[in-house]
Amino acid sequence: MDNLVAYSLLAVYSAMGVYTVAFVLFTLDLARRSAAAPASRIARPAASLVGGSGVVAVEGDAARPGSVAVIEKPAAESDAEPSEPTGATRYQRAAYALTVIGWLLHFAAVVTRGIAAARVPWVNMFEFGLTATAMGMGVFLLVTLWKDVRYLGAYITGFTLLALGIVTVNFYVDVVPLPPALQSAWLVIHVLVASLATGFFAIGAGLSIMQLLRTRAAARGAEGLRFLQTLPGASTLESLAYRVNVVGFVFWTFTLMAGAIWAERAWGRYWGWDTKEVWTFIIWTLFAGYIHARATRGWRGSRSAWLAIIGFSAVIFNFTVVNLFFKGLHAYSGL
Amino acid sequence: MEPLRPSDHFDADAIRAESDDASAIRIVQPRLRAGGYLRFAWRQLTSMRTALVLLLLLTVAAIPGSLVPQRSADPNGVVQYRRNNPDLFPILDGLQLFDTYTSVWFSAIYLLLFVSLIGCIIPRTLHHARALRAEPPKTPARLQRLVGYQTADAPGTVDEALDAARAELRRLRYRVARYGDSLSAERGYLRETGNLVFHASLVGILATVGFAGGFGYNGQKVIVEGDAFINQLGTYDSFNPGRLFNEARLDPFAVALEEFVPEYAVDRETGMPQALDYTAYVSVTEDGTTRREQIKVNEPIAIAGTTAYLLGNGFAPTLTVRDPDGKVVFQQPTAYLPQDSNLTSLGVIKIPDGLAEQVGMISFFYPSALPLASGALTSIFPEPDQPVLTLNAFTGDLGLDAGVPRNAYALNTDGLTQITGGDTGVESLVLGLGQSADLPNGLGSVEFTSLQRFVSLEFHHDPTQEGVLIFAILLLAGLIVSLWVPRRRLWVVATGSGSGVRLQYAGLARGDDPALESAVAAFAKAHGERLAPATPPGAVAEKRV
Amino acid sequence: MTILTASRVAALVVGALALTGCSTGADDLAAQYRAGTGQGYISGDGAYTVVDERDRGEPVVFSATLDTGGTISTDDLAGQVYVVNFWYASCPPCRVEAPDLESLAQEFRDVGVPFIGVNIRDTVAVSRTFADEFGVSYSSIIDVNDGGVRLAFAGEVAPNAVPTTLVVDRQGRVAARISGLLTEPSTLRAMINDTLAEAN
Repeated sequence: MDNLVAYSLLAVYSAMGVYTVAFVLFTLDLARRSAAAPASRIARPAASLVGGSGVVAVEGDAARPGSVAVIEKPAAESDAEPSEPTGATRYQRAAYALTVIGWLLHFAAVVTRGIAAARVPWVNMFEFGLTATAMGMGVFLLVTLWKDVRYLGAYITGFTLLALGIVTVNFYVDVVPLPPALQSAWLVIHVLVASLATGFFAIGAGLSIMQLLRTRAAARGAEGLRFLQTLPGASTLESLAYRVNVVGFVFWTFTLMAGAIWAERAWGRYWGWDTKEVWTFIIWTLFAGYIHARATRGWRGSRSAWLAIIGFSAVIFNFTVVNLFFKGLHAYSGL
Repeated sequence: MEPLRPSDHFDADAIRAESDDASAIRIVQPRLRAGGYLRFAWRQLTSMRTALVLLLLLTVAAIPGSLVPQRSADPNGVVQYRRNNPDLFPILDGLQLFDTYTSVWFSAIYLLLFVSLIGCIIPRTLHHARALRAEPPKTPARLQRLVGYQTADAPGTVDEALDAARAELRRLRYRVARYGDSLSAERGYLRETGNLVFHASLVGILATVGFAGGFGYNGQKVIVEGDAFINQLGTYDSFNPGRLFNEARLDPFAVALEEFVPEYAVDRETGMPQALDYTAYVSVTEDGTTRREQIKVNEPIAIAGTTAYLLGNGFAPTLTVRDPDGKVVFQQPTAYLPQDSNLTSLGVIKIPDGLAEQVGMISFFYPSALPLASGALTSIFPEPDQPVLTLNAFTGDLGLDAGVPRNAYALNTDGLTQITGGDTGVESLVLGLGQSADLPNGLGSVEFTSLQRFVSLEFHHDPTQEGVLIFAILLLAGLIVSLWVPRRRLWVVATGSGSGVRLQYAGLARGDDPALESAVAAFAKAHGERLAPATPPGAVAEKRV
Repeated sequence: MTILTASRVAALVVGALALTGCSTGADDLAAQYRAGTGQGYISGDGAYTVVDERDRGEPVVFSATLDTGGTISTDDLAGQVYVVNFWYASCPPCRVEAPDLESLAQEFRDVGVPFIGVNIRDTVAVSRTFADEFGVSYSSIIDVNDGGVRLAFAGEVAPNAVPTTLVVDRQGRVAARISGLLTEPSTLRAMINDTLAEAN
């Protein structure tokens, strides 16, 4: 049993090592793209015309100060712009392969931890951090199968590395049996879905950040980070972010509901404005706001992107500051 | 018919611009006369932008409630906050921050939000009900401007082509209408249904909590092993009723605690104790019959319309106090409040009668006591392997004789004289199980007679649960449907040309529908295969730039 | 529930109570909860309820042990009007009203109206020490262990605060209740007299 715990930790450190290399390579990829960007910029308008998606015009629109990206249907939504990023370098391939290997190690760490503890591996902050980052990375890899969003690699590996480092170094606790408060089937469902939601929100926030950078870059022309010009257009990024975030939102809604049902069992009421409940509610309303902003004239584009980023920040805040510094019933950090 | 949208919905312009449907709702600026201002205000309130701003305001307004304790959840915390921040407290209390979620400002925001919401969904629901019975709109004159526009040539007649298209659209579960030599088809009405169900469920949850919630109650009771609780106001330690609570609604039943059994393990590396399981064995008397039950954390039991939860537990040492003549004046268990994971516990014992003076004692209990180098005691395990308690005694007026409520778990030592421990020069009394010691000044003696456990139970009657659960499930289902069922239109126009027909296809999306273009293409392809299975894909895709 | 006037002075108050149907209102209870005093019991505001003969509930039946030793049952009390007081020793209002209750108990002893305490929290030792301290002449039932007497008094006019004082009629039905501190002994006296005045 102790062996398994040690193997699990070894796997965590190995995963972190591999992620580090992947992060460096992903960053190098973006850097190399910057160097290559001017060429692709020349090639791009032509490609767009052939593609006929009207993206060029739309982006000009979105970037104009004061115009809040009123993307009229069907011009923007119909853009069948190929989402393969242009200008990706061979560094990216290597980085991606390493990310997959890192994730396998990461996943193995989660599984061995669970076997060692003979229960789900997410009952304290260390374990939740370990599992949620594995989920987030899994979601990222899953999304890359659907759309090529490997340009998010640096963001995701960097973020995962940071989170893994913090939970392993600062929040590590030994395998302990389940305290009575957590002995419930809802532990499996509620926390699993919460970490899935977190994974989707993380990807969504990454896409929204890229969208904002892309919008800014388009406004400034050649200034700023040139790799951005190798990314899909802001409207494509916005649409992708939306589609990822709504999955997160549905999972979060379920998390909130499952949490309420569990709270009824464990704490005697399904809703009591406990600090964790408050923050789960705040996150829910932020993303509900995001979805509505996407349907409101004047709020599409950058403003809604900011809402998604604030929403994800609130998720992080809920996991860190609320867990560590706020008094409440949801005190399972294990610290 | 178009789904009805607030005027500032991003779709609204597109709808007006693209639709040839005479029945499309046109929102005309009201003339600002008489009722005009009212209607204008109503339009503003029910606009997307207002709803969004209210929603974000609600988000911000919820934050303070997580920063300071709330009376509804933690009344003791509020009392403590007041003690720690005597200057700040009145200001925050004036702002209703200790009642954030029932405060005027929080209520105002969510009520406005819900009025806005209701003002939006009622007309939309009526409109959608009509739309569900309406034919798809007429085919636009120029399909070229629409999504996924493409043309194809096929053999056969116009009627044959349109019949095949109708069959294919039906298979794809479109609603189809023929206008002249064209078909107009629409699908995904469920999207709007889901959207309305989602929003109506939110209103349903609020209404259920608002109305049924008034009849609920919850009450707390500490029960020592061997004692019983009666579901009666006079028996509760504390009780929190809904607005419409009536004491006659308390169903009579008794819950007696027979035994409380915790299970612990030790972490071999850290030596920290781990609670594995808590079980309260109770006997429940209801309608004249008695049954035995177990209550665990996460496994509450249902008794006569209420649910009983195990919220806490601890030790309840029995002290026996004798007067100088050896007569027993006090002998009963006192619930000690746990202070740490090894169940070092704090108890307050008040002996108002029978001794020369009233005696109050602040007592620490160590289930597995171990002396530290400093001489102080600590508990190293939550099981009573080496039970020891210490007593600091005080004499004087305990404040119980003025009829004023006192905190049963605290001893206000102002005006009392300490006689053991602290600066008195007399050691705190330290008693192992079965040991006794004399109180100073010839007051009498105190004995640690026996050790029981207590549980803290919560009894909760919540008539909103079922309603809220049903609405929550509807909400989730509505959300999923409204996000992932695409609402789209397809048009096919057939024109006779020489030996065959020339076909035009196009689509229009309502809401986010990134797959529309490929859906039009897939339909055109399937249609082409129905008309001429062997036809090579000679159809040139003419895409709009 | 219609109300029979127990005392003319209180007629209006009692009428108002009849409308609300309960004497410890939800608002008052909520305020107690929110005050967070940690007092550990539900206090009453001294409000009282008088139940019209036609509206009284079923006869109360119990049998219990007394702090003075021995047992008591409703059979022993058959045909008698009696008074029950629910209390415990460290409840502040219980301590305040104890002398008043004792003097009323002595006043009605000769008329044949027994007073019975129901101690809801304490052991025999604590209950007896209290009785000695306050010179209480009547015995108390020790109800902490099974709650049998409180359960027997469950119903429309149950002990809904600490202390609660009930007047039981000759048929063994609850005729009147004072929730909380007995502020005016004359109120209880009037309740007992009115109940005694009822036809057998």
